[in-house]
Amino acid sequence: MAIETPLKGFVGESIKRKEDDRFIRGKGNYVDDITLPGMLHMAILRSPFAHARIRSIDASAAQALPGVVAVVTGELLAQHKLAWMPTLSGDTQAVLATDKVRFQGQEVACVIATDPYVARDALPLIEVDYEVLPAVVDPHKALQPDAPLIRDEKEGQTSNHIYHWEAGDKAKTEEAFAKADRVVTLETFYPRCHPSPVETCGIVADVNPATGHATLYLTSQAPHAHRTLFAIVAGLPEQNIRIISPDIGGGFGNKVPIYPGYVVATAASLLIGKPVKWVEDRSENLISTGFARDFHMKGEMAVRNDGRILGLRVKLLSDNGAFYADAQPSKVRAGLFHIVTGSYDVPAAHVEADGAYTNKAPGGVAYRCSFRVTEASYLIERLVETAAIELGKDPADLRIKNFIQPDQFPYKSATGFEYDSGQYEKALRLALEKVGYEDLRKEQAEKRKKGELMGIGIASFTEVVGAGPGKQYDIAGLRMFDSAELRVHPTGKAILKLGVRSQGQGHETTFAQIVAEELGIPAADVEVQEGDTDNTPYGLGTYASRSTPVGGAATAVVSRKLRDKAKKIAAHLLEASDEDIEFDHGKFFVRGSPSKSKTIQDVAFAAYTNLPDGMEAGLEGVTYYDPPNFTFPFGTYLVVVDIDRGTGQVKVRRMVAVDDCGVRINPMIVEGQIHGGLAEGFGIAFMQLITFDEEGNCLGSNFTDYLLPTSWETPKFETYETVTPSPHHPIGAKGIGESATVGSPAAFVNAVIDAVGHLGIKNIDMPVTSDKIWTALQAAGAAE
Amino acid sequence: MLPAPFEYHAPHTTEETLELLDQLGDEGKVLAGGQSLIPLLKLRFASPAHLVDVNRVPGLDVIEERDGVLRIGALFRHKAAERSTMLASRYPVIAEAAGQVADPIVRNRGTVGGSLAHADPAGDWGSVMLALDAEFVLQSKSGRRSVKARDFFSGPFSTALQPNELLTEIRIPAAQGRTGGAYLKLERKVGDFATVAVAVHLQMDDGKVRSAGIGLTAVGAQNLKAEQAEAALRGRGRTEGRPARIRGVQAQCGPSLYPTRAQTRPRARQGRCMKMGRPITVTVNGEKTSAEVEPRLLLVHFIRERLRLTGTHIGCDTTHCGACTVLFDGVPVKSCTMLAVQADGRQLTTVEALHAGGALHPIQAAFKEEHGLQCGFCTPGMMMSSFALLAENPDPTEEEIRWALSGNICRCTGYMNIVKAVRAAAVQMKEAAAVPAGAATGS
Repeated sequence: MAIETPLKGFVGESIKRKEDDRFIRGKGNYVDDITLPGMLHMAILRSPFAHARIRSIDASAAQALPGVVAVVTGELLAQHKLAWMPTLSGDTQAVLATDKVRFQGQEVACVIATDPYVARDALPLIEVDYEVLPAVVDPHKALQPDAPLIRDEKEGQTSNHIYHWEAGDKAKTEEAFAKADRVVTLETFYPRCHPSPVETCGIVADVNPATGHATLYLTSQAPHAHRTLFAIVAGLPEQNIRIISPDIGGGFGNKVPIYPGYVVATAASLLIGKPVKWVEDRSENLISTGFARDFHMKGEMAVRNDGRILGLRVKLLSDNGAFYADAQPSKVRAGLFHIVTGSYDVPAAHVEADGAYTNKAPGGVAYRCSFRVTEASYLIERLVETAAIELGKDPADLRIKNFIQPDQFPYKSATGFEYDSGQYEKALRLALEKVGYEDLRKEQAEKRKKGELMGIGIASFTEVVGAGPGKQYDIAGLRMFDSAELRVHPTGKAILKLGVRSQGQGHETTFAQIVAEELGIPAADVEVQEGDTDNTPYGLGTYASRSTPVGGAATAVVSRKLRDKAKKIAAHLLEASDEDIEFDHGKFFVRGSPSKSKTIQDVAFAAYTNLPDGMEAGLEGVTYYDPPNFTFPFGTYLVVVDIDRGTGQVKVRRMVAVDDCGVRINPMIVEGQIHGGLAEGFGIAFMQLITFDEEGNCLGSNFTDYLLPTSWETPKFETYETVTPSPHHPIGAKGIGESATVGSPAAFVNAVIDAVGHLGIKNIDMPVTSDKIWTALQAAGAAE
Repeated sequence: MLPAPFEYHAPHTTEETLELLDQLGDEGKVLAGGQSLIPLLKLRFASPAHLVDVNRVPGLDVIEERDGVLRIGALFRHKAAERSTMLASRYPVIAEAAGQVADPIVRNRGTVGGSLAHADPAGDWGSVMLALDAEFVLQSKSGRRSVKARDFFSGPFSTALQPNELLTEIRIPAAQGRTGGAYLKLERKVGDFATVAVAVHLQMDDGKVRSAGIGLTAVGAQNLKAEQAEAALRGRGRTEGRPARIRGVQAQCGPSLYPTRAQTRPRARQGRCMKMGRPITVTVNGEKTSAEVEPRLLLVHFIRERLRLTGTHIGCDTTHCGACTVLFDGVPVKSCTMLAVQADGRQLTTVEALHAGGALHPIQAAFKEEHGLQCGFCTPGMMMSSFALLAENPDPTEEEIRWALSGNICRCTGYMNIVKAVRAAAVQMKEAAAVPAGAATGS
């Protein structure tokens, strides 16, 4: 009988996840699982109005309810200079409202009680006298001169306009448009949606009154950055703050910002001297925490009749809600939206972006995407589809004609990015082959004759992830590097400590594999630790697909540092010269005589027991890695749909995904990331919507109204890969957490439009629900 | 989302229930399946002072066809309707609708009568009962009356039911001759209310329609009976090819009157004090445990906070995500939508029991092996639903798995590997069962 060699967990091996053992036993440790002695519970009173002046707040009845320990209002916070806090986009945000409420669900007061039920009982006892003001929910209307001024507390703010921002070359773009045979235009709205991890946000704040030490158990994707921001916001000495981000039940960008609840719970714990827990409920999560998208976009593409793209012009208006709190690097205003030229060699492009305040929740988080890349990818891929319909060309051919070619890399885009590597046509051709494109087009033609609606949608996306050179990209001034600290113990086992924080991506396995690859220590022997700021080196956290591009690179680099030292120790043990030592997967040997070797475990032991003269003991190191550039994952997604003319219902028949994220560290985990992203892209395309009525009432405040796909609707995915390593990443990896959410919505919508485009239906904004399709078919005279 | 305090009553007979309802009047609210009521209590859209839990009243969950009448007890659960072979063959509109109400876990608990009394205009059962020409038996201390379905619904969430009345029974004229029916529901996802739905119940005589019943969901302020269309069908033969369009349906419905489910603004301002604890005894994972609980304590909090079994999670508060799924007397329920007091005398099984003997259950092993989890937060609920599925259907197809798990939301995996894991566990469990106990496994 053959004996299977157990996998060591080198790069490229699909080893099983180390973190699963606790999760499958129900032994994960999430924030809500944490209970401390004497712990109090906090509940938040939220504004029922989208826009109203607060005349007065009377908390006496709430305060008198048995079990209530304290009621915290904005007025109290203001005494401690905590009523307002800075946002990640250089704006300010109310922690608890003092003057006005500016969106429905805004935090007005907090009750601290001995029991979570009692804390909620006290909320309706707080009397708030509101003077209701007219609300504005449409950013176009918000920019009208007569619109109610939302941020009247800001000095010099006389309108609801937040920012104007441009990228690319306007003059050159105008020239390109002058030379075009035609201009293809698409106006589209990428609606507001919400990341909605199954675990909501929460904190257990434990400030020790005797020592002044604050231990904050927090649902945080970026614990180190949060520690620094907490120090700045709350005025606590940073060495006294310890943030522990325990197991995180999904993040998708929702757990990047600092929310008012975190600040109040911490302040309350400080004032009362007892631990305070706040875990938001689902409605609170949906109506007040970081939303995503909400971009109104107009794209114009200058094309020649032969299909060549000459130029791209984009105007966008972003709806940022009541506070400009986009989670993004400080030097950009609309994230990395200027990646909007996508996978195409577009000679000239110009992007103009404006932001507006509205009476809606703030946020603008990168929901499973790198800072507004999804919106960009959606616009360009929808525009290419529109161009194909208008030019009467096959959308696959049109893409192939315009792709950046492999020999053009590194490619400088018209808006200023330098793409690292790509083989776009290869990925598209693989998808076409796997789906059987030619046959599907024939079938579609046959069906069309019979009046049946079938569509094939393509999206050949390119992402920009892994922020990102620290010199250009920082969050609140903190450069976007990341870190890894590796300690190899005498017995050859290791601990790897990282500045990033997994929310389900499998870091405990993947990063152990990088160490295994670089040092030869089996992944099973490498314990990966994250999330505790007292115990891990400083880093900017996990979002924007930056863990593998930055934290992964740091892991490889620190492993190599240790390997260099290990080589010297091996030379000492083998009585050879350093230069003659070679290394192969955990074995050091003398060049030419592989039998004369020492294992990494031998060397690790020697590092503490038998060192060359003059060498420091130990085998440990730390690296702070500042990437030289972003990485640019890409791929092609292909969707086949059938549409019922009687109801407008869409059935996704097939979904083929070809992803190229460079080198795959653990292919099983990579596939899992793609599946998850595709399902979220499907949800965004077809059902996930946060919208408001004219008074600013949120119409997506729980899962009855904010719909998430289940196993039943979610299509089956057929996944394939091409591998184009990143030339500047130490192991050639690019990051994969978000590709599928970035690329897939356009593929789903393109499939629908491909099915109905011949009827003159040019666009249907997401979510593409059956009633919208049916209405469009009805207008086109094609509904059954 | 946590309910306001209330007093809890668990009567054991119909008489006792009616007596209570009579005493409590407006202050009392009947708790049946609770799958709509408990979320409303948690949202504090409803805060009755007294809940009268009828789940312990025997005889309310019967179904029988006798003397020309099909009688369905008010506590008859959606799942029972979905599984009934009698209903599938004689009243297909009921069986079809049953499988489309909410999601599979909610169907385990929710009741037909409770749903009708709740009278959501986007609810499914009202249309079915209108199509079937059902009448509802409403009992009070002072007597009983019978109300036709068409007279029962009077607007969104509003019916002919008086506060002191209990809907005890649904009476449907027994199917005669050849019958057919269907419930077509257009929904955006499992667990969604209907965008629009139609219930049809046909009785045929000699190839001609003897009677047609049509009920419409989510097209008006209440479920509607399409009487003109019914009349138009009566006496017609089966048409070849495409069915003839029935005029009148559209005219009758008009524009949708269905209110948006916006948050309601003002909240009740009365402070109500916590209620006294009630003693309960529950067998959890095989161990009997006794505790005193406030009536409003949610089952999930009892499990998590009192018993410190934190593998059961809270994700959505409104019965959609299934992260809190546990087995209640062996049946999956969403423990955030049940009260701890309801578990008195019952058996609970949580994720912690899966590996009770120390070794991983094949489902747990398969979730790891097939990468069926990422962040792990939905995983316990997902595994409990899988456990119940495999207990009932040891060899499910991929479709059956996807259907059975559609009451549990996962945001990380895209479900592909979860489905694979359940398949793999099924194979594993089958193989293990095929090996006789104590058989030698060596070479």
